[in-house]
Amino acid sequence: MSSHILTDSSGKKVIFSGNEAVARGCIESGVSFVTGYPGTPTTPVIEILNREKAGLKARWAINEKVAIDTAAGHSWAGLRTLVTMKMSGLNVASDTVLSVAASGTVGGLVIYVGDDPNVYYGMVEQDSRYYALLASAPMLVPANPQEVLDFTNYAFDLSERIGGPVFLRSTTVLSNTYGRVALGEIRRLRQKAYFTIDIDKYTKAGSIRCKQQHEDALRRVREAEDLTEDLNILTKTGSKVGVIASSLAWDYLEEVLEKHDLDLTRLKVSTAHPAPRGKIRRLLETVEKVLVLEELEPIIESTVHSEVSRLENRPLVFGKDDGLVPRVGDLSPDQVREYLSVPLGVELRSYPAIEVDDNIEAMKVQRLLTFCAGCPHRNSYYALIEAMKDLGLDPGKTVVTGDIGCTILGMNEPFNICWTEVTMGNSIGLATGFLEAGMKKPVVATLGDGTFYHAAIPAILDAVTTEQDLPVIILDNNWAAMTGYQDTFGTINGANVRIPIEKVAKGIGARSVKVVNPYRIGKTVRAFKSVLTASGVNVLVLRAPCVAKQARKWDLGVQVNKGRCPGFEGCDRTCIEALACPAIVRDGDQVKVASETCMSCGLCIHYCPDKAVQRNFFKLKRKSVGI
Amino acid sequence: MEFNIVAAGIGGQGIVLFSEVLSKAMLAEGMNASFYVHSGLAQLGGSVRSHIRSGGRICPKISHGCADIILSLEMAEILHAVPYVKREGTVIISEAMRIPYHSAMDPSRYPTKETLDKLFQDARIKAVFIPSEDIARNAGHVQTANIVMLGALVATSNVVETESVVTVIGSCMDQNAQVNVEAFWKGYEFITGQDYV
Ligand SMILES: Cc1ncc(C[n+]2csc(CCOP(=O)(O)OP(=O)(O)O)c2C)c(N)n1
Ligand code: SF4
Repeated sequence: MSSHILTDSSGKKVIFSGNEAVARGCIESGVSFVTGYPGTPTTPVIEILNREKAGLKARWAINEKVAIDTAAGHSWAGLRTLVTMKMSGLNVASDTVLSVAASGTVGGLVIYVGDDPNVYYGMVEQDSRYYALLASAPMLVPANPQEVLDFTNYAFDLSERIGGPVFLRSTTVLSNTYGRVALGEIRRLRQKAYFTIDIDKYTKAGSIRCKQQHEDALRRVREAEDLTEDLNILTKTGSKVGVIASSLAWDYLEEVLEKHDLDLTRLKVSTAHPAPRGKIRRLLETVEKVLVLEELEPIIESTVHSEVSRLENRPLVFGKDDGLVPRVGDLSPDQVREYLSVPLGVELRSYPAIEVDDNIEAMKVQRLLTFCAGCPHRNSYYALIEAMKDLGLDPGKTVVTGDIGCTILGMNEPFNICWTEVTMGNSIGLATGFLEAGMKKPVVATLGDGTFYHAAIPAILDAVTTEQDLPVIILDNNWAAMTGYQDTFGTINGANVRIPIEKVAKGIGARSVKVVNPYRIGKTVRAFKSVLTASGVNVLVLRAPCVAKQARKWDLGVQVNKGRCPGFEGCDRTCIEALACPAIVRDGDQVKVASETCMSCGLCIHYCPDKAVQRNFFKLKRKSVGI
Repeated sequence: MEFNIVAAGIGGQGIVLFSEVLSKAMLAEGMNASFYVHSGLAQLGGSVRSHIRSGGRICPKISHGCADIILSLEMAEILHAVPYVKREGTVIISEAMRIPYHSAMDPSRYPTKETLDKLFQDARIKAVFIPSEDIARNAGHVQTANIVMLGALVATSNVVETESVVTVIGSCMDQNAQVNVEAFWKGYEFITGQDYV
């Protein structure tokens, strides 16, 4: 689908996702550098640009803070730059974001951030629009893929007009919506790096400079308010009820108005910051009631309230403050219809669905999120639990701090071993905190290789220098798997220079560093037992590639010997229950191995108390799977 | 004219490709088309849904009671799509099953084909079951089950011309085009051969 991104000419209509539209926008706008950190929903932009060999530099940074640092340098050298991250990443990058927003920029700098209203993926349900207010920088909030493309292009122009960074904010639903987009022209810019000394702008030395920079940032926002006037569209129809809506809520509103043949006075807000005060006021002057529709927090609504307070005839505001529109979750056309009925005072009819007697909710199948068949992490957690049992520790009472990524699936059944998941790299500091508090040892920290490089290194240094007894378990599967197998800085055979974890860990003072292949269960259990009882910070790297990215080479022909398997009736704890491996499926009362899914990790062979699971052909070369 | 489809399945079944081919075929026929993928952690076996739409002014999400067709690539996943189907709509269900952890231990936690069939019968709506993975295996590869379902959908609804789909498959799946085209026709013929239309 993304083959159009590079080549197709202006005017051509294609189907693009929000993310593809951003990638195309970078090309149309003559951007020379794109960086960022993977995180849903913004990950695809850099991947598309790389896949398409877009002729611009697009690469992952070690974390979001470094991404925005690098992007700022590029912008200050006069070149156009886009930086992408998920909302959590913006928290990590925020220190630099605020500082750069105060200093201003030279080459257009656009920060593409994805929020996740309704939490389709996990992490804090946060509204990144607050960062635009915090940083005093404009933020564009498109409503559909066409606008994502148009606003990406516009954001670069705006950034250069006002001399400051511009946020482009998407959401999970918008980034994953594929819609018809008319392509624009590809502009080729001739840019050459230059940088001039200007300590008033580029340093934060002294109160006078910093206050001047604050003034400058506020001035840029005022300028943006005038420049973006036309992006916010006011339609006056003389109705007594008016609606102000932003981003996808606008799209839903339009659908509801059309379906119900309503022509209400309405304002489309495309700039979360600065809010279009003038147009909001003009709308408020003509209506008796106004409904404000936006996902997550009442940000535009607060401007509406402040404008209402200035009026003599004050319209009634419907939205989040009165509890009509929720602050939790996202919106849908069905919800918009329901909320609109309230100020209208008539119930807008829903559409006749089918009537079912059965309780559909109860019938829905619960799908446990678990490791892929053959995932090395399953073996690692299995071995950790075995090691605890061998040492007489109760796995249910030994604190294990988890971290972000596929590694956290150890919190789910059947392992139930990870107790916490906070932010990238947090497992180490949190464990240190538990130890400082005097929690019973061992307290164990587990994390992935991506997370290690992203944010764990300073925390490990901290644990080393404060002389903690902390086993640090790094599940090194070669990639940042959960976000779609991006290279990490230790990735073997990847594009990046390899800086192995063990070298870093030794360099920052770990007392011991050991690398073990988690498919060798016995060895892994022994390695765990040694770090769980050792003093000091000891790093255990469990290294084997993610099988979803790189299938195991050998097909062991794993099979269940029906004569030996006692089945669900006779088995204390079946392999299905104990391992939750998607390749082991129920076959009547017994189990069987689904050969299309099995990755020959051998964990079930190791586990089965009745030795009913067996390998068939030794070292048979694995057939390629999939098409 | 507005036409809405809610497709459901689980990660790895190719719902994005299914949606992409269909919406590109719609676009090729001059329709406005869009689809929105609701996925979560699909990579790890979670549920996926796609709202595929064509027509005039369309927003990403389909309203409840507005889908002309609901379809699932995995049998039990159809339940997620039920609130969307119109009273006079059509239901197309793949017989492919992905039994998750809790259902494997307690089979009563996975609906039977009979239960589902009865549910739609009671609602006076026709549900068509398709052995999509068997058909796909016969057509050349089990992973083309999604395109088998696309064939069934096109045969049931005539929402796009078959030629448009075949052209799109040819243009966006180089080396796998042939097996997918085969799968598409097999799914199409499964419906026409059975006189479902
Ligand atoms: C600050 C921040 N940035 C990005 C993400 C998105 N994210 C979720 S999981 C993950 C990858 C973790 O990779 P790794 O530690 O290697 O674990 P794996 O998934 O490979 O097991 C990322 C980057 C996030 N949650 N928070
Ligand atoms: S994607 Fe990779 S790391 Fe994640 S569960 Fe699957 S095999 Fe394991």
